[in-house]
Amino acid sequence: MTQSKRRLSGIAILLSLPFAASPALAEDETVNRLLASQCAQCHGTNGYARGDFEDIAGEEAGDLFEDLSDMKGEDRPENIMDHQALGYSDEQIRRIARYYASLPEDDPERQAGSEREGEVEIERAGEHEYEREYEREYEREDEHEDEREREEHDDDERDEDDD
Amino acid sequence: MSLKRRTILQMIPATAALSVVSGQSMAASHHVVVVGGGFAGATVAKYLRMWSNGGIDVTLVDKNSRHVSCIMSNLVLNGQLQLGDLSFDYSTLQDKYGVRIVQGGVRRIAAGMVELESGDLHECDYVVVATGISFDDIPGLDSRKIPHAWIAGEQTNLLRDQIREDMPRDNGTFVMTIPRAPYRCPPGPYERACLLADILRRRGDGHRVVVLDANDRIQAERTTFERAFYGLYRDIIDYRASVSVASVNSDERIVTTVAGENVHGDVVNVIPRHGAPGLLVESGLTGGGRWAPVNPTTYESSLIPGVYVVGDSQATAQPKSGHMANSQAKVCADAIIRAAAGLSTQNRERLANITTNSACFSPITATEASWLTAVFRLNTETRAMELVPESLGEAHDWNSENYSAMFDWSENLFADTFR
Ligand SMILES: Cc1cc2nc3c(=O)[nH]c(=O)nc-3n(C[C@H](O)[C@H](O)[C@H](O)COP(=O)(O)OP(=O)(O)OC[C@H]3O[C@@H](n4cnc5c(N)ncnc54)[C@H](O)[C@@H]3O)c2cc1C
Repeated sequence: MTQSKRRLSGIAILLSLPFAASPALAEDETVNRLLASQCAQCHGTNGYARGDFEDIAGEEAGDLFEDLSDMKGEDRPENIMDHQALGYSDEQIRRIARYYASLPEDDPERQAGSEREGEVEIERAGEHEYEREYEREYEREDEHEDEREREEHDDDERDEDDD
Repeated sequence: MSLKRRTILQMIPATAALSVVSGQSMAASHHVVVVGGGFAGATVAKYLRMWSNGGIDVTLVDKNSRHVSCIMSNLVLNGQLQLGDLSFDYSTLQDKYGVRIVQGGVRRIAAGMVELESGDLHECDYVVVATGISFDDIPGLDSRKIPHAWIAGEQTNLLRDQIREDMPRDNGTFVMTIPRAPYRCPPGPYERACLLADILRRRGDGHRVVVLDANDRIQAERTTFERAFYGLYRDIIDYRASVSVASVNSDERIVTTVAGENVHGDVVNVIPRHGAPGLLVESGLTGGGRWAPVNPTTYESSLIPGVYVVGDSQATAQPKSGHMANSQAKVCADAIIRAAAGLSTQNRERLANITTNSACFSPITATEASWLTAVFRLNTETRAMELVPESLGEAHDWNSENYSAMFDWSENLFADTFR
Protein backbone atom coordinates (compact mmCIF):
# COMPACT_ATOMS: atom_id res chain seq x y z
CA MET A 1 0.00 0.00 0.00
CA THR A 2 1.35 3.44 -0.79
CA GLN A 3 2.09 5.85 1.99
CA SER A 4 -0.77 8.21 1.09
CA LYS A 5 -3.35 5.45 0.80
CA ARG A 6 -2.18 4.15 4.08
CA ARG A 7 -2.59 7.54 5.70
CA LEU A 8 -6.07 7.90 4.22
CA SER A 9 -7.32 4.62 5.48
CA GLY A 10 -5.70 5.48 8.80
CA ILE A 11 -7.77 8.64 8.99
CA ALA A 12 -10.89 6.78 8.00
CA ILE A 13 -10.36 4.36 10.82
CA LEU A 14 -9.60 7.14 13.23
CA LEU A 15 -12.84 8.92 12.36
CA SER A 16 -14.87 5.79 12.74
CA LEU A 17 -13.50 5.15 16.20
CA PRO A 18 -15.71 6.06 19.11
CA PHE A 19 -14.52 9.23 20.90
CA ALA A 20 -11.50 9.56 18.67
CA ALA A 21 -12.58 12.90 17.35
CA SER A 22 -13.53 14.25 20.75
CA PRO A 23 -10.63 13.78 23.13
CA ALA A 24 -12.41 16.13 25.54
CA LEU A 25 -14.58 13.19 26.56
CA ALA A 26 -13.12 11.99 29.80
CA GLU A 27 -10.73 9.17 29.16
CA ASP A 28 -8.20 8.55 31.86
CA GLU A 29 -4.84 9.14 30.22
CA THR A 30 -3.03 7.33 33.02
CA VAL A 31 -4.98 4.19 32.16
CA ASN A 32 -3.78 4.54 28.57
CA ARG A 33 -0.28 5.23 29.82
CA LEU A 34 -0.26 2.03 31.88
CA LEU A 35 -1.68 -0.02 29.02
CA ALA A 36 0.82 1.46 26.57
CA SER A 37 3.76 0.94 28.93
CA GLN A 38 3.31 -2.78 28.36
CA CYS A 39 4.84 -2.30 24.92
CA ALA A 40 8.00 -0.76 26.37
CA GLN A 41 9.74 -4.04 27.24
CA CYS A 42 10.44 -4.37 23.50
CA HIS A 43 9.77 -0.90 22.07
CA GLY A 44 11.60 1.10 24.70
CA THR A 45 10.49 3.35 27.55
CA ASN A 46 7.82 5.70 26.11
CA GLY A 47 8.16 3.93 22.75
CA TYR A 48 11.73 5.02 21.94
CA ALA A 49 13.29 1.72 21.03
CA ARG A 50 16.90 0.64 20.87
CA GLY A 51 18.55 -1.61 18.33
CA ASP A 52 16.50 -2.78 15.36
CA PHE A 53 13.12 -2.75 17.08
CA GLU A 54 10.67 -0.13 15.92
CA ASP A 55 10.13 3.26 17.58
CA ILE A 56 6.41 3.70 18.17
CA ALA A 57 6.30 7.12 19.85
CA GLY A 58 4.77 9.83 17.72
CA GLU A 59 3.25 7.45 15.17
CA GLU A 60 -0.11 8.43 13.77
CA ALA A 61 -2.83 6.83 15.88
CA GLY A 62 -4.59 5.58 12.76
CA ASP A 63 -1.44 3.91 11.46
CA LEU A 64 -0.71 2.17 14.74
CA PHE A 65 -4.30 1.04 15.02
CA GLU A 66 -4.25 -0.27 11.49
CA ASP A 67 -0.92 -2.07 11.88
CA LEU A 68 -2.01 -3.78 15.08
CA SER A 69 -5.38 -4.69 13.57
CA ASP A 70 -3.64 -6.22 10.57
CA MET A 71 -1.43 -8.30 12.85
CA LYS A 72 -4.46 -9.35 14.83
CA GLY A 73 -6.15 -10.45 11.64
CA GLU A 74 -3.35 -12.73 10.41
CA ASP A 75 -4.75 -16.16 9.48
CA ARG A 76 -1.65 -17.84 10.71
CA PRO A 77 0.06 -15.76 13.38
CA GLU A 78 3.77 -16.01 12.65
CA ASN A 79 5.70 -13.61 14.75
CA ILE A 80 5.64 -12.28 18.28
CA MET A 81 3.65 -9.19 17.36
CA ASP A 82 0.94 -11.23 15.61
CA HIS A 83 0.42 -13.03 18.91
CA GLN A 84 0.81 -9.94 21.08
CA ALA A 85 -1.80 -8.05 19.05
CA LEU A 86 -4.27 -10.89 19.69
CA GLY A 87 -3.94 -10.15 23.41
CA TYR A 88 -5.72 -6.80 23.18
CA SER A 89 -9.27 -5.74 22.39
CA ASP A 90 -9.86 -3.21 19.59
CA GLU A 91 -10.69 -0.68 22.25
CA GLN A 92 -7.38 -1.31 24.00
CA ILE A 93 -5.47 -1.06 20.74
CA ARG A 94 -7.15 2.27 20.10
CA ARG A 95 -6.08 3.49 23.54
CA ILE A 96 -2.49 2.35 23.00
CA ALA A 97 -2.40 3.99 19.57
CA ARG A 98 -3.76 7.26 20.94
CA TYR A 99 -1.26 7.27 23.73
CA TYR A 100 1.81 6.80 21.53
CA ALA A 101 0.43 9.30 19.02
CA SER A 102 0.39 11.90 21.79
CA LEU A 103 4.15 11.59 22.37
CA PRO A 104 6.78 13.45 20.36
CA GLU A 105 8.22 11.38 17.52
CA ASP A 106 11.79 12.07 18.57
CA ASP A 107 12.96 11.15 22.01
CA PRO A 108 13.30 14.49 23.84
CA GLU A 109 16.44 13.12 25.46
CA ARG A 110 18.02 12.21 22.16
CA GLN A 111 16.93 15.54 20.71
CA ALA A 112 18.64 17.46 23.47
CA GLY A 113 21.82 15.92 22.09
CA SER A 114 22.52 14.12 25.30
CA GLU A 115 23.97 10.70 24.81
CA ARG A 116 21.70 8.01 26.07
CA GLU A 117 22.86 7.17 29.50
CA GLY A 118 24.00 3.77 30.54
CA GLU A 119 24.46 1.86 27.35
CA VAL A 120 23.09 -1.62 27.53
CA GLU A 121 24.36 -2.82 24.21
CA ILE A 122 25.74 -6.13 25.21
CA GLU A 123 25.67 -8.03 22.02
CA ARG A 124 28.24 -6.57 19.72
CA ALA A 125 31.25 -6.94 21.98
CA GLY A 126 30.15 -10.31 23.26
CA GLU A 127 29.32 -11.64 19.82
CA HIS A 128 32.66 -10.73 18.34
CA GLU A 129 34.56 -12.09 21.27
CA TYR A 130 32.55 -15.24 20.92
CA GLU A 131 33.05 -15.53 17.22
CA ARG A 132 36.78 -15.40 17.69
CA GLU A 133 36.66 -18.01 20.40
CA TYR A 134 34.31 -20.03 18.31
CA GLU A 135 36.59 -19.96 15.31
CA ARG A 136 39.46 -21.14 17.44
CA GLU A 137 37.28 -23.94 18.71
CA TYR A 138 36.27 -24.85 15.20
CA GLU A 139 39.90 -25.02 14.20
CA ARG A 140 40.64 -27.29 17.11
CA GLU A 141 37.61 -29.34 16.21
CA ASP A 142 38.76 -29.70 12.64
CA GLU A 143 42.06 -31.03 13.86
CA HIS A 144 40.25 -33.54 16.05
CA GLU A 145 38.02 -34.44 13.17
CA ASP A 146 40.96 -35.23 10.93
CA GLU A 147 42.51 -37.32 13.66
CA ARG A 148 39.35 -39.23 14.22
CA GLU A 149 38.69 -39.77 10.56
CA ARG A 150 42.10 -41.33 10.24
CA GLU A 151 41.39 -43.58 13.21
CA GLU A 152 37.92 -44.72 12.34
CA HIS A 153 36.38 -44.55 8.93
CA ASP A 154 32.90 -44.09 10.31
CA ASP A 155 31.03 -41.07 9.17
CA ASP A 156 30.10 -38.49 11.66
CA GLU A 157 26.33 -38.45 11.86
CA ARG A 158 26.08 -35.66 14.32
CA ASP A 159 24.87 -32.93 12.01
CA GLU A 160 22.44 -35.09 10.15
CA ASP A 161 19.31 -33.71 11.74
CA ASP A 162 20.35 -30.12 11.55
CA ASP A 163 17.55 -28.30 9.83
CA MET B 1 7.93 24.74 30.22
CA SER B 2 10.04 22.04 28.68
CA LEU B 3 8.55 19.60 26.23
CA LYS B 4 9.20 16.76 28.61
CA ARG B 5 7.32 18.34 31.46
CA ARG B 6 4.40 19.23 29.27
CA THR B 7 4.19 15.68 27.97
CA ILE B 8 4.14 14.27 31.43
CA LEU B 9 1.47 16.74 32.53
CA GLN B 10 -0.72 15.61 29.66
CA MET B 11 -0.58 12.07 30.85
CA ILE B 12 -2.09 12.74 34.22
CA PRO B 13 -5.80 13.37 34.65
CA ALA B 14 -6.80 16.78 35.88
CA THR B 15 -7.94 15.52 39.25
CA ALA B 16 -4.61 13.96 40.02
CA ALA B 17 -2.44 16.46 38.26
CA LEU B 18 -2.23 18.97 41.06
CA SER B 19 -1.24 16.65 43.81
CA VAL B 20 0.94 14.26 41.83
CA VAL B 21 2.73 16.62 39.55
CA SER B 22 3.39 19.57 41.77
CA GLY B 23 5.53 17.23 43.80
CA GLN B 24 5.71 19.44 46.90
CA SER B 25 2.49 18.17 48.37
CA MET B 26 3.60 14.56 48.02
CA ALA B 27 7.31 14.71 48.62
CA ALA B 28 7.00 15.13 52.31
CA SER B 29 4.34 12.53 52.87
CA HIS B 30 4.84 9.78 50.30
CA HIS B 31 7.86 7.60 50.47
CA VAL B 32 8.22 4.15 48.93
CA VAL B 33 10.96 1.67 49.83
CA VAL B 34 11.58 -0.97 47.17
CA VAL B 35 13.39 -4.08 48.40
CA GLY B 36 15.32 -5.85 45.63
CA GLY B 37 16.62 -4.24 42.45
CA GLY B 38 16.09 -6.96 39.85
CA PHE B 39 13.64 -6.88 36.95
CA ALA B 40 10.62 -6.17 39.13
CA GLY B 41 12.17 -3.83 41.72
CA ALA B 42 14.23 -1.65 39.38
CA THR B 43 11.21 -1.17 37.10
CA VAL B 44 8.92 -0.20 39.99
CA ALA B 45 11.48 2.33 41.25
CA LYS B 46 12.00 3.88 37.81
CA TYR B 47 8.33 4.10 36.87
CA LEU B 48 7.28 5.44 40.29
CA ARG B 49 9.68 8.34 39.84
CA MET B 50 8.98 8.87 36.16
CA TRP B 51 5.20 8.73 36.36
CA SER B 52 4.91 10.81 39.52
CA ASN B 53 7.27 13.32 37.92
CA GLY B 54 9.45 13.03 40.97
CA GLY B 55 6.51 13.57 43.30
CA ILE B 56 7.10 10.36 45.20
CA ASP B 57 10.30 9.63 47.10
CA VAL B 58 11.73 6.25 46.24
CA THR B 59 14.48 4.32 48.00
CA LEU B 60 15.77 1.14 46.37
CA VAL B 61 17.54 -1.35 48.63
CA ASP B 62 19.53 -4.24 47.18
CA LYS B 63 22.09 -6.42 48.87
CA ASN B 64 24.38 -6.00 45.86
CA SER B 65 25.70 -2.88 44.16
CA ARG B 66 24.66 -4.23 40.78
CA HIS B 67 22.14 -6.72 39.47
CA VAL B 68 23.33 -9.62 37.33
CA SER B 69 20.62 -10.58 34.86
CA CYS B 70 19.58 -14.20 34.64
CA ILE B 71 18.15 -13.36 31.25
CA MET B 72 20.72 -14.34 28.60
CA SER B 73 22.93 -15.92 31.28
CA ASN B 74 22.79 -19.34 29.58
CA LEU B 75 25.01 -17.69 26.96
CA VAL B 76 27.72 -17.32 29.60
CA LEU B 77 27.93 -21.10 29.68
CA ASN B 78 29.08 -21.34 26.07
CA GLY B 79 31.38 -18.34 26.39
CA GLN B 80 29.30 -16.10 24.18
CA LEU B 81 28.67 -13.54 26.90
CA GLN B 82 30.38 -12.67 30.14
CA LEU B 83 28.75 -11.70 33.40
CA GLY B 84 29.96 -8.13 32.90
CA ASP B 85 27.71 -7.95 29.82
CA LEU B 86 24.74 -8.76 32.02
CA SER B 87 25.52 -6.61 35.07
CA PHE B 88 23.57 -3.43 35.73
CA ASP B 89 24.41 -0.88 38.38
CA TYR B 90 21.84 1.57 39.70
CA SER B 91 23.55 4.78 38.62
CA THR B 92 20.96 5.69 35.98
CA LEU B 93 18.09 5.06 38.37
CA GLN B 94 19.83 7.41 40.78
CA ASP B 95 21.10 10.13 38.44
CA LYS B 96 18.35 10.26 35.87
CA TYR B 97 15.28 9.37 37.93
CA GLY B 98 16.32 10.43 41.42
CA VAL B 99 15.93 7.04 43.08
CA ARG B 100 17.82 6.85 46.38
CA ILE B 101 20.05 3.78 46.30
CA VAL B 102 20.91 1.89 49.47
CA GLN B 103 23.13 -1.17 49.42
CA GLY B 104 22.26 -3.68 52.12
CA GLY B 105 20.50 -6.91 52.87
CA VAL B 106 16.97 -6.60 54.24
CA ARG B 107 16.06 -8.87 57.14
CA ARG B 108 12.54 -7.81 58.06
CA ILE B 109 9.56 -6.17 56.43
CA ALA B 110 6.38 -4.82 57.97
CA ALA B 111 3.76 -2.27 56.96
CA GLY B 112 5.59 1.06 56.71
CA MET B 113 8.95 -0.36 57.73
CA VAL B 114 11.99 -2.09 56.30
CA GLU B 115 14.81 -3.30 58.53
CA LEU B 116 18.29 -3.90 57.18
CA GLU B 117 20.75 -6.49 58.41
CA SER B 118 22.85 -3.58 59.67
CA GLY B 119 19.96 -2.69 61.99
CA ASP B 120 19.08 0.45 60.03
CA LEU B 121 15.37 1.10 59.85
CA HIS B 122 13.68 2.74 56.87
CA GLU B 123 10.20 4.06 57.49
CA CYS B 124 7.89 4.69 54.59
CA ASP B 125 4.30 4.80 53.38
CA TYR B 126 4.53 1.85 51.02
CA VAL B 127 6.90 -1.10 50.85
CA VAL B 128 7.48 -2.98 47.58
CA VAL B 129 9.10 -6.41 47.89
CA ALA B 130 10.86 -7.73 44.77
CA THR B 131 13.44 -10.18 46.03
CA GLY B 132 12.96 -12.98 43.51
CA ILE B 133 13.34 -16.58 44.63
CA SER B 134 15.14 -18.89 47.01
CA PHE B 135 15.68 -22.64 46.80
CA ASP B 136 14.54 -25.61 48.86
CA ASP B 137 17.22 -27.58 50.68
CA ILE B 138 18.02 -30.98 49.21
CA PRO B 139 19.86 -33.49 51.43
CA GLY B 140 23.55 -33.54 50.54
CA LEU B 141 23.33 -30.67 48.08
CA ASP B 142 26.12 -28.11 48.36
CA SER B 143 25.63 -25.53 45.64
CA ARG B 144 29.26 -24.41 45.93
CA LYS B 145 30.10 -27.81 44.41
CA ILE B 146 26.94 -28.55 42.45
CA PRO B 147 25.81 -25.20 41.00
CA HIS B 148 22.21 -24.30 40.25
CA ALA B 149 23.24 -21.28 38.17
CA TRP B 150 19.59 -20.22 38.43
CA ILE B 151 20.39 -16.95 40.19
CA ALA B 152 23.00 -15.42 37.93
CA GLY B 153 26.43 -14.41 39.22
CA GLU B 154 29.17 -16.53 40.74
CA GLN B 155 27.00 -19.58 40.22
CA THR B 156 26.91 -19.04 36.48
CA ASN B 157 30.68 -18.81 36.24
CA LEU B 158 31.10 -21.88 38.44
CA LEU B 159 28.95 -23.95 36.11
CA ARG B 160 30.72 -22.55 33.04
CA ASP B 161 34.13 -23.45 34.51
CA GLN B 162 33.02 -26.95 35.44
CA ILE B 163 31.77 -27.52 31.91
CA ARG B 164 35.08 -26.29 30.50
CA GLU B 165 37.32 -28.17 32.90
CA ASP B 166 35.50 -31.27 34.08
CA MET B 167 33.75 -32.52 30.97
CA PRO B 168 36.04 -34.90 29.07
CA ARG B 169 36.65 -34.51 25.36
CA ASP B 170 34.49 -37.52 24.51
CA ASN B 171 31.85 -39.65 26.21
CA GLY B 172 31.06 -37.20 29.01
CA THR B 173 27.80 -37.02 30.95
CA PHE B 174 26.16 -33.77 31.98
CA VAL B 175 23.24 -34.20 34.38
CA MET B 176 20.69 -31.49 35.05
CA THR B 177 17.53 -31.51 37.13
CA ILE B 178 14.41 -29.41 36.62
CA PRO B 179 12.28 -28.52 39.65
CA ARG B 180 8.54 -28.87 40.01
CA ALA B 181 6.67 -25.92 38.46
CA PRO B 182 6.18 -23.08 39.07
CA TYR B 183 9.81 -22.16 38.70
CA ARG B 184 11.53 -19.12 37.20
CA CYS B 185 11.63 -19.03 33.37
CA PRO B 186 9.54 -21.99 32.15
CA PRO B 187 11.57 -22.62 28.94
CA GLY B 188 14.91 -21.86 30.63
CA PRO B 189 16.00 -25.36 31.68
CA TYR B 190 15.15 -26.89 28.29
CA GLU B 191 17.06 -24.09 26.61
CA ARG B 192 20.02 -24.90 28.84
CA ALA B 193 19.84 -28.58 27.88
CA CYS B 194 19.96 -27.60 24.19
CA LEU B 195 22.92 -25.27 24.67
CA LEU B 196 24.79 -27.95 26.60
CA ALA B 197 24.15 -30.43 23.82
CA ASP B 198 25.45 -27.86 21.35
CA ILE B 199 28.59 -27.19 23.41
CA LEU B 200 29.32 -30.88 23.90
CA ARG B 201 28.77 -32.02 20.36
CA ARG B 202 31.27 -29.43 19.22
CA ARG B 203 33.72 -30.72 21.76
CA GLY B 204 33.72 -34.40 20.87
CA ASP B 205 31.78 -37.62 20.48
CA GLY B 206 29.54 -39.71 22.62
CA HIS B 207 28.44 -37.03 25.09
CA ARG B 208 25.15 -37.24 26.89
CA VAL B 209 22.97 -34.60 28.52
CA VAL B 210 20.67 -36.32 31.02
CA VAL B 211 17.67 -34.17 31.92
CA LEU B 212 15.74 -35.22 35.01
CA ASP B 213 12.46 -33.31 35.03
CA ALA B 214 10.29 -33.37 38.16
CA ASN B 215 7.36 -32.39 35.92
CA ASP B 216 5.45 -34.89 33.83
CA ARG B 217 6.23 -33.11 30.58
CA ILE B 218 8.13 -30.22 29.01
CA GLN B 219 6.74 -27.06 30.56
CA ALA B 220 7.07 -24.54 27.73
CA GLU B 221 7.58 -24.41 23.94
CA ARG B 222 6.88 -28.11 23.84
CA THR B 223 6.83 -28.35 20.04
CA THR B 224 10.19 -26.65 19.77
CA PHE B 225 11.92 -28.59 22.51
CA GLU B 226 10.51 -31.94 21.44
CA ARG B 227 11.86 -31.31 17.98
CA ALA B 228 15.22 -30.38 19.45
CA PHE B 229 15.40 -33.24 21.95
CA TYR B 230 14.17 -35.98 19.63
CA GLY B 231 15.56 -34.56 16.39
CA LEU B 232 18.60 -32.34 16.33
CA TYR B 233 19.99 -33.59 19.63
CA ARG B 234 18.51 -37.09 19.78
CA ASP B 235 21.92 -38.73 20.16
CA ILE B 236 22.85 -36.47 23.05
CA ILE B 237 19.82 -35.47 25.11
CA ASP B 238 18.24 -38.11 27.29
CA TYR B 239 15.07 -36.50 28.61
CA ARG B 240 13.26 -38.21 31.49
CA ALA B 241 9.94 -36.83 32.75
CA SER B 242 8.52 -37.27 36.28
CA VAL B 243 11.89 -37.82 37.94
CA SER B 244 12.43 -35.99 41.24
CA VAL B 245 15.63 -35.61 43.20
CA ALA B 246 15.76 -37.21 46.66
CA SER B 247 19.37 -36.42 47.55
CA VAL B 248 22.70 -35.45 46.08
CA ASN B 249 26.26 -36.56 46.73
CA SER B 250 28.00 -33.27 46.06
CA ASP B 251 31.56 -34.66 46.15
CA GLU B 252 30.92 -37.68 43.93
CA ARG B 253 28.48 -35.74 41.72
CA ILE B 254 25.69 -38.26 42.02
CA VAL B 255 21.98 -37.49 42.01
CA THR B 256 19.76 -40.03 43.75
CA THR B 257 16.19 -39.96 42.48
CA VAL B 258 13.05 -40.55 44.51
CA ALA B 259 12.76 -43.92 42.74
CA GLY B 260 16.21 -44.81 44.12
CA GLU B 261 18.27 -44.58 40.96
CA ASN B 262 21.78 -43.12 41.16
CA VAL B 263 22.70 -40.89 38.25
CA HIS B 264 26.32 -39.84 37.98
CA GLY B 265 27.60 -36.93 35.96
CA ASP B 266 30.99 -35.47 35.13
CA VAL B 267 29.19 -32.21 35.79
CA VAL B 268 25.89 -31.99 37.64
CA ASN B 269 23.53 -29.01 37.61
CA VAL B 270 20.79 -29.31 40.23
CA ILE B 271 18.11 -26.63 40.16
CA PRO B 272 16.15 -27.10 43.39
CA ARG B 273 12.48 -26.31 43.80
CA HIS B 274 11.79 -22.59 44.32
CA GLY B 275 9.76 -20.49 46.71
CA ALA B 276 9.58 -16.90 47.87
CA PRO B 277 12.69 -16.07 49.93
CA GLY B 278 12.71 -16.64 53.71
CA LEU B 279 12.43 -12.88 54.22
CA LEU B 280 8.87 -13.01 52.93
CA VAL B 281 7.99 -16.16 54.87
CA GLU B 282 9.29 -14.70 58.13
CA SER B 283 7.62 -11.34 57.52
CA GLY B 284 4.24 -13.07 57.16
CA LEU B 285 3.81 -12.41 53.46
CA THR B 286 3.33 -16.01 52.33
CA GLY B 287 0.70 -17.11 54.84
CA GLY B 288 2.04 -20.66 54.94
CA GLY B 289 2.19 -21.00 51.15
CA ARG B 290 5.21 -21.11 48.87
CA TRP B 291 4.61 -17.67 47.31
CA ALA B 292 3.15 -14.34 48.42
CA PRO B 293 -0.54 -13.91 47.56
CA VAL B 294 -1.37 -10.48 46.09
CA ASN B 295 -4.15 -8.52 44.45
CA PRO B 296 -3.05 -8.41 40.78
CA THR B 297 -4.72 -5.05 40.19
CA THR B 298 -2.16 -3.44 42.49
CA TYR B 299 0.23 -6.22 43.66
CA GLU B 300 -0.64 -5.29 47.22
CA SER B 301 -0.19 -8.23 49.57
CA SER B 302 -3.40 -10.04 50.47
CA LEU B 303 -1.94 -10.45 53.96
CA ILE B 304 -0.23 -7.16 54.89
CA PRO B 305 -1.86 -3.94 53.60
CA GLY B 306 0.63 -1.33 52.43
CA VAL B 307 3.17 -3.98 51.40
CA TYR B 308 3.33 -4.86 47.70
CA VAL B 309 4.99 -7.94 46.18
CA VAL B 310 6.02 -8.04 42.50
CA GLY B 311 7.97 -10.41 40.26
CA ASP B 312 8.90 -14.00 40.94
CA SER B 313 8.06 -13.86 44.68
CA GLN B 314 4.32 -13.35 44.24
CA ALA B 315 1.72 -16.08 43.88
CA THR B 316 -0.36 -15.26 40.78
CA ALA B 317 -0.40 -17.90 38.05
CA GLN B 318 1.49 -15.70 35.57
CA PRO B 319 4.82 -17.08 34.36
CA LYS B 320 7.86 -16.19 36.44
CA SER B 321 9.89 -14.23 33.94
CA GLY B 322 11.88 -11.02 33.90
CA HIS B 323 9.75 -9.61 31.09
CA MET B 324 6.67 -10.37 33.19
CA ALA B 325 8.28 -8.96 36.36
CA ASN B 326 8.86 -5.67 34.50
CA SER B 327 5.26 -5.79 33.27
CA GLN B 328 3.76 -6.34 36.73
CA ALA B 329 5.98 -3.61 38.16
CA LYS B 330 4.23 -1.01 36.00
CA VAL B 331 0.79 -2.08 37.28
CA CYS B 332 2.15 -1.79 40.82
CA ALA B 333 3.77 1.64 40.24
CA ASP B 334 0.53 2.96 38.74
CA ALA B 335 -1.46 1.63 41.71
CA ILE B 336 0.83 3.23 44.28
CA ILE B 337 0.79 6.60 42.48
CA ARG B 338 -2.99 6.49 42.47
CA ALA B 339 -3.19 5.49 46.10
CA ALA B 340 -0.78 8.28 47.04
CA ALA B 341 -2.92 10.78 45.13
CA GLY B 342 -6.06 9.51 46.84
CA LEU B 343 -7.47 8.06 43.61
CA SER B 344 -9.20 4.72 43.29
CA THR B 345 -7.26 1.81 41.84
CA GLN B 346 -10.46 -0.16 41.37
CA ASN B 347 -12.48 1.92 38.95
CA ARG B 348 -13.94 0.10 35.98
CA GLU B 349 -11.91 1.87 33.34
CA ARG B 350 -8.61 0.94 34.97
CA LEU B 351 -9.60 -2.66 35.72
CA ALA B 352 -10.74 -3.21 32.13
CA ASN B 353 -7.26 -2.28 30.94
CA ILE B 354 -4.95 -4.20 33.26
CA THR B 355 -2.74 -6.39 31.12
CA THR B 356 0.69 -7.96 31.44
CA ASN B 357 2.77 -9.86 28.94
CA SER B 358 5.75 -12.09 28.66
CA ALA B 359 8.32 -13.01 26.06
CA CYS B 360 11.26 -15.35 26.23
CA PHE B 361 13.80 -16.02 23.53
CA SER B 362 15.53 -19.39 23.77
CA PRO B 363 18.82 -20.06 22.05
CA ILE B 364 18.62 -23.62 20.68
CA THR B 365 22.08 -23.60 19.10
CA ALA B 366 24.87 -21.04 19.35
CA THR B 367 23.43 -19.15 16.38
CA GLU B 368 19.69 -19.91 16.35
CA ALA B 369 16.85 -19.18 18.73
CA SER B 370 13.13 -19.72 19.22
CA TRP B 371 10.65 -17.61 21.19
CA LEU B 372 7.54 -17.84 23.34
CA THR B 373 5.06 -15.08 24.09
CA ALA B 374 1.73 -14.47 25.82
CA VAL B 375 -0.57 -11.69 27.04
CA PHE B 376 -2.53 -11.85 30.29
CA ARG B 377 -5.56 -9.77 31.23
CA LEU B 378 -7.59 -9.22 34.35
CA ASN B 379 -10.75 -11.26 34.60
CA THR B 380 -12.86 -8.58 36.21
CA GLU B 381 -15.17 -11.14 37.80
CA THR B 382 -12.67 -13.49 39.39
CA ARG B 383 -10.11 -10.68 39.83
CA ALA B 384 -7.42 -13.06 38.62
CA MET B 385 -5.00 -12.54 35.75
CA GLU B 386 -5.76 -14.97 32.97
CA LEU B 387 -4.03 -15.93 29.76
CA VAL B 388 -5.57 -14.57 26.57
CA PRO B 389 -5.49 -17.94 24.78
CA GLU B 390 -5.02 -16.62 21.21
CA SER B 391 -2.02 -14.57 22.31
CA LEU B 392 -0.02 -17.60 23.40
CA GLY B 393 2.45 -18.46 20.70
CA GLU B 394 5.78 -20.06 20.08
CA ALA B 395 8.16 -19.74 17.14
CA HIS B 396 7.50 -22.12 14.23
CA ASP B 397 11.23 -22.55 13.83
CA TRP B 398 14.48 -21.81 15.53
CA ASN B 399 16.56 -19.62 13.25
CA SER B 400 19.19 -16.92 13.08
CA GLU B 401 16.68 -14.07 12.71
CA ASN B 402 15.19 -14.95 16.07
CA TYR B 403 18.69 -15.16 17.40
CA SER B 404 19.44 -11.64 16.34
CA ALA B 405 16.04 -10.36 17.57
CA MET B 406 16.89 -11.88 20.95
CA PHE B 407 19.61 -9.26 21.39
CA ASP B 408 17.32 -6.40 20.39
CA TRP B 409 14.68 -7.68 22.75
CA SER B 410 17.01 -8.03 25.73
CA GLU B 411 18.62 -4.67 25.04
CA ASN B 412 15.21 -2.99 25.20
CA LEU B 413 14.06 -4.95 28.23
CA PHE B 414 17.29 -4.19 30.10
CA ALA B 415 16.97 -0.50 29.21
CA ASP B 416 13.30 -0.28 30.19
CA THR B 417 14.26 -1.77 33.55
CA PHE B 418 17.61 -0.31 34.53
CA ARG B 419 18.16 2.77 32.31
C1 LIG C 1 18.89 -19.18 32.87
C2 LIG C 1 17.72 -18.24 32.96
C3 LIG C 1 17.21 -17.68 31.80
C4 LIG C 1 16.14 -16.79 31.86
N1 LIG C 1 15.66 -16.27 30.69
C5 LIG C 1 14.60 -15.43 30.71
C6 LIG C 1 14.07 -14.88 29.50
O1 LIG C 1 14.52 -15.17 28.40
N2 LIG C 1 13.04 -14.00 29.59
C7 LIG C 1 12.51 -13.64 30.77
O2 LIG C 1 11.59 -12.82 30.79
N3 LIG C 1 12.95 -14.18 31.95
C8 LIG C 1 13.98 -15.05 31.94
N4 LIG C 1 14.45 -15.59 33.13
C9 LIG C 1 13.71 -15.35 34.39
C10 LIG C 1 14.06 -14.03 35.06
O3 LIG C 1 15.45 -13.94 35.26
C11 LIG C 1 13.35 -13.90 36.41
O4 LIG C 1 12.00 -14.22 36.26
C12 LIG C 1 13.48 -12.47 36.93
O5 LIG C 1 14.82 -12.20 37.25
C13 LIG C 1 12.58 -12.21 38.12
O6 LIG C 1 12.71 -10.87 38.55
P1 LIG C 1 12.57 -10.47 40.09
O7 LIG C 1 12.76 -9.00 40.12
O8 LIG C 1 11.36 -11.06 40.66
O9 LIG C 1 13.80 -11.19 40.81
P2 LIG C 1 15.35 -10.99 40.54
O10 LIG C 1 15.57 -10.46 39.17
O11 LIG C 1 16.02 -12.24 40.95
O12 LIG C 1 15.79 -9.84 41.55
C14 LIG C 1 15.81 -9.99 42.93
C15 LIG C 1 16.73 -8.93 43.52
O13 LIG C 1 16.52 -8.87 44.94
C16 LIG C 1 17.74 -8.77 45.61
N5 LIG C 1 17.55 -9.34 46.96
C17 LIG C 1 17.16 -10.60 47.27
N6 LIG C 1 17.04 -10.75 48.59
C18 LIG C 1 17.36 -9.56 49.15
C19 LIG C 1 17.40 -9.08 50.49
N7 LIG C 1 17.09 -9.86 51.54
N8 LIG C 1 17.78 -7.79 50.70
C20 LIG C 1 18.11 -6.99 49.65
N9 LIG C 1 18.06 -7.38 48.38
C21 LIG C 1 17.68 -8.65 48.12
C22 LIG C 1 18.71 -9.56 44.74
O14 LIG C 1 20.05 -9.14 44.97
C23 LIG C 1 18.22 -9.24 43.34
O15 LIG C 1 18.88 -8.10 42.79
C24 LIG C 1 15.55 -16.46 33.11
C25 LIG C 1 16.07 -17.03 34.27
C26 LIG C 1 17.14 -17.91 34.20
C27 LIG C 1 17.67 -18.50 35.47
